[in-house]
Amino acid sequence: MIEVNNLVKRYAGVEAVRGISFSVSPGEIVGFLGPNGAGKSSTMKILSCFMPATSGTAKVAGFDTFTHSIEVRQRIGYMPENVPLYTELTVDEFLRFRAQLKGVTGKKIKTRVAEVKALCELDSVSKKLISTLSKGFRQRVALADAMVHDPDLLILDEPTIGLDPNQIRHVRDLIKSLGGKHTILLSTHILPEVEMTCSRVLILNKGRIEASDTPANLMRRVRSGGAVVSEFRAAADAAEKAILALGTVEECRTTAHDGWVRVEIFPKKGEDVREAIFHICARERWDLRELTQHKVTLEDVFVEITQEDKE
Amino acid sequence: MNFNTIRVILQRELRSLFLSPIAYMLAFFYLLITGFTFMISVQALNESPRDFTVMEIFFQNFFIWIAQLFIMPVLTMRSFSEEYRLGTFEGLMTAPVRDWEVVLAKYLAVLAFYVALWAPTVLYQFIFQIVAVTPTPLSNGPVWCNYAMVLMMGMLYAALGLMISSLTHNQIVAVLVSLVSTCMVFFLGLLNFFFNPPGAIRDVLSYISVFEHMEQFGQGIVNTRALVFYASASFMLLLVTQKIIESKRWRA
Ligand SMILES: Nc1ncnc2c1ncn2[C@@H]1O[C@H](COP(=O)(O)OP(=O)(O)OP(=O)(O)O)[C@@H](O)[C@H]1O
Ligand SMILES: [Mg+2]
Repeated sequence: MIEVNNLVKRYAGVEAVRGISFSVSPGEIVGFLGPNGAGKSSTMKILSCFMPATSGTAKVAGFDTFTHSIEVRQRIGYMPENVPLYTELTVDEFLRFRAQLKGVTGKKIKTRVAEVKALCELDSVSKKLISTLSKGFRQRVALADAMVHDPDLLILDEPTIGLDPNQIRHVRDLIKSLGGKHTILLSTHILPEVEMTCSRVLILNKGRIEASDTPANLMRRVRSGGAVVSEFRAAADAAEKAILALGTVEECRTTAHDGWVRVEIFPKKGEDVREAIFHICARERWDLRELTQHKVTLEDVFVEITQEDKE
Repeated sequence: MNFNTIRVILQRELRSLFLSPIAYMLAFFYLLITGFTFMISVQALNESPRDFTVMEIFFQNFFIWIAQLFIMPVLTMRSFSEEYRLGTFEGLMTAPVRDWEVVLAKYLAVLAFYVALWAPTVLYQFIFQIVAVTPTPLSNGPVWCNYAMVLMMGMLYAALGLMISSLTHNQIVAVLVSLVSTCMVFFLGLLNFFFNPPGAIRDVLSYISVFEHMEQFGQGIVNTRALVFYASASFMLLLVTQKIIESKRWRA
């Protein structure tokens, strides 16, 4: 559905996107992640034909975004990050306008507008002027706008920013339910959301793609995977020595306070050291008061990938 | 060409034009100026019988033409500037619309509003006929020529204003620059009256002289060269506007 090849976007002085290539197959829900300024919005603007790339190509449904932009735009529902809306219109008027603009005709205008209003829970504000809506409602209007012509591909730039927790959950479920029939590329900084909805994650950093995999695979790759934190009554150096003696541990950090020692243990790949720690404590008669394995989240993946060069 | 796209954008443009307070202010002052001018024209007829119909006298008033210089800059200032500022330009241009469809729709919207401002003046003569004691002739050729001139002037100034609006995010800058440009176009044509430039320059100036066209059309002379000038100049300006919005996205 999307095919990007060596895409470069250079603004006056800044190289925002530095030669990225990726593809998205029909029906996928792809999370587009990266720190602020990574080039996510720039890439999305090129895909939605708002601006041309400096070099490289981007294709949507086989059409080039530059040479066949009308065909591409007919197939895309794009939600820009700053949700631009005509504030002097009511929600109904705005959605009608957008539907017609995107080529919805006749009776379908009414049914499509009604459908997306229901999907985005906008019925209660149908007749209100957009200028009087709260941020979250505007966000939902923009989402409804993106879907109004029932496009094959949805490109959503931070769709859940500014929504309340109920709405975040609602939009997440909505996105999930659209998957399969529609292809979705969504950027966000809310990582648990990505873990729950996306079948694949693309991590962009400083204009380059650093990772592209399923959330599960990415989490398996993380160094802090299987890290264990434990606290017991012992001397710091004795504790460290005993733990390193296990042979299955890569690194061990200790901090001592009030006779207790807190250890962070990074085991070798695939090792679970929790049992071994318990046995050490039992053997040495150290009082044990904490033993937890750190659960890897996408956040760890994100931090590790995008902060690598800082360490 | 997709007429549906043009129609849809045109409708929205008209809606926001008619909903803006600026439009009402403009309409108010317009009615004031044209109404006042009409009154003066009627008075002139009252004082002494003339060979002209009331509308001919109406169009001879310079006020009417000076007012034209202000109207289009105000009507066009929001066209693109507002869309850039609000970011709605991004939504608009990522819909399946062609650049020139957008330009044309915005242009037609402004012209439609302009025509609506002028429409009441057509009624004036009928009102005059009803209230006049002695039967008076209705508008004749020269009056309709004046209306043609009004329309062509609007076409040119609208295209100019639209182009300037496409250059900036700031509608205040847009309105001021448009005003200056419109005045420059108008007063350039007056240069022939103040200086006596050599032949070729004189011809060029008179070709583009809005003032001379006004005079000619006022006398009922249909100057086809002038028609060509307004049509082609407007077209060129719209073409430039299209290029500008294209390059705006290029540099976006
Ligand atoms: N119009 C522009 N002119 C100049 N530089 C720009 C422009 N738009 C973006 N940039 C620069 O390009 C880089 C990438 O910006 P982009 O908006 O694509 O980042 P992003 O990944 O969407 O970030 P965020 O998470 O903050 O939305 C940034 O360094 C930004 O400053
Ligand atoms: Mg962004």
